[in-house]
Amino acid sequence: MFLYPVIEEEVFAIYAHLSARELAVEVKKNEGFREKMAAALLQKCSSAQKEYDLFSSWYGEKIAQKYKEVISEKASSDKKLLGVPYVLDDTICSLAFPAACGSPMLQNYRPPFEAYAVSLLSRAGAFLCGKARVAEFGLGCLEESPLGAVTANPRGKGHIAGSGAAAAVASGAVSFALGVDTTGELREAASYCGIFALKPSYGAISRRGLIGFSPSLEQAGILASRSSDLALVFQEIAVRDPQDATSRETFSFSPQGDQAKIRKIAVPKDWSSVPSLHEEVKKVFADKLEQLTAMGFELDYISLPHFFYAPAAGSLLAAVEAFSSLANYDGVRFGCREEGRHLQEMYTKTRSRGFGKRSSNFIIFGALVSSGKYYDKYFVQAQKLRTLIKRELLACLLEYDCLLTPTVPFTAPLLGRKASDHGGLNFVEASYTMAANLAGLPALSYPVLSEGSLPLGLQFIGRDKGEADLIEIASFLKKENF
Amino acid sequence: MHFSREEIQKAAQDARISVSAQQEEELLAELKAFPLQEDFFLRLQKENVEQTCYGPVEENIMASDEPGASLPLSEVLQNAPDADESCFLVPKVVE
Repeated sequence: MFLYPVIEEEVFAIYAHLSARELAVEVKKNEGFREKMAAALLQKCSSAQKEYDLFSSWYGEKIAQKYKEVISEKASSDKKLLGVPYVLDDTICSLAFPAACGSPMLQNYRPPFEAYAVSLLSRAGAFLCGKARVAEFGLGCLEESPLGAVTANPRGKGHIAGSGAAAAVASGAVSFALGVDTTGELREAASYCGIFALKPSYGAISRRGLIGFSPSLEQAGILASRSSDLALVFQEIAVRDPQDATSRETFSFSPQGDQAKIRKIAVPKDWSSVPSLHEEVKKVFADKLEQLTAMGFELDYISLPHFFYAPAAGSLLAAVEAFSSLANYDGVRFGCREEGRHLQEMYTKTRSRGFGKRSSNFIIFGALVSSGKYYDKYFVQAQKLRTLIKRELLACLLEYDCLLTPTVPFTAPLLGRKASDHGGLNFVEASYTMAANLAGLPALSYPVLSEGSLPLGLQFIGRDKGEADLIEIASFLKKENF
Repeated sequence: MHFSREEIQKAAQDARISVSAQQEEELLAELKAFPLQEDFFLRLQKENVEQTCYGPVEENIMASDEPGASLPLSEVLQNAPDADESCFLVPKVVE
């Protein structure tokens, strides 16, 4: 088996050792560096695409030329992300690339506008290399999309990456990526690939331009190899969007380097009773808890009676929202169309062919539990369960600075496994991640890398608007070689 | 969770998706394996707890009620599977 560290020599391109901030400074001051950077980008992205199949669309061989054109236009200005390469989940709109969202339904769809966060990144000088593969509509990250492709893990050949964006960052092709986290997908992919992920507080980053399926849960987030890059990118895009009803007032964000303010950490006392928890993850997490105690952190094991119901509650609520959100894919205004003798037949044929099996099952599940007969019995009760989970987390975070769990109960699954192998509608991979989405709280996945093993992640769930605290503890732990 | 085949077919019809017998079988199995049991939902029904629809939404942002520029027609129609110069084209509505 090919295990960590597997990143080959070509990964360490000219920009691999530079943080986003350092890279932007080099690009601005040094024209020669820009030339080398363009060539390195072509080499890196090409080899990563060949090796891991991570892009759904990108500039291909024209990327070096495109990089030079875009950067020369902006080089004279003072931009914090000048020339910093990044990718987008295919569920985020940009004008430069199609947005197929991993679905035959939207194959060749070209968005007529771009996501607000993408506009802000462009204004900050970042260079968009392409769109990265996702599961259909970003629903989980265990299954290949019905379009057929599945991205391999740069840190464990033969295993899934979880998303093309995570593979792009882990392989060193780009400095950061923007993705969507609905049930925990962003953090899960980061855990599989051994990189950082930040799912911000709900509403911190505009959701305009996200093609999602569950508006109350989904949030754009950031993947990066360095915590300082998370901070820099978050600063640029966490801005109130006047055209997004769920966007929040821009809040103060100023992480103080690598000095952690977080001292009191809560751990769910039942963290090890998750049925899908693998022995390897259990052992590493237990070791890390001991290490944190030895480093002087105050750890308490607390009771969170509803926390582990989150995957089921989230699955049910997301399914109902998907039933509604994905209703407009009917073959009339965009996407694919199957011919029918009349309108109703066209709708049904189009949707039956356009959605993959998992999405279809999920939508039907949503239709079922929100039907007149079951609305009160299931949907309303899941909304109440959401209240209980949220209350529990808020009470915990009044007393403690953060909550710590593993990110995913297992390491990256083997390529070719189906979501149904992991529980289908139950989202077992989201055993620890879903609660933060239900409560709208920020969460950070911290990578744990050890030679000879697949990577895994530690998840820190923070207080509302507590992104700076999470980034500080991540920087502190990294500095300590935790 | 226990549902009948008829209920699955009705939900699929509401969702405008046709399901094969095999898919119906798989879905029934997944629903049966859903981890929240009936008695758990019954217990929740008795609890006096308000529902949460969204995470922390501080205030609803409303766009000002003023006419603004719309997308040009050509852009609106660019992704349509079938269109003429100004309209989406669809099959006839009645059989």
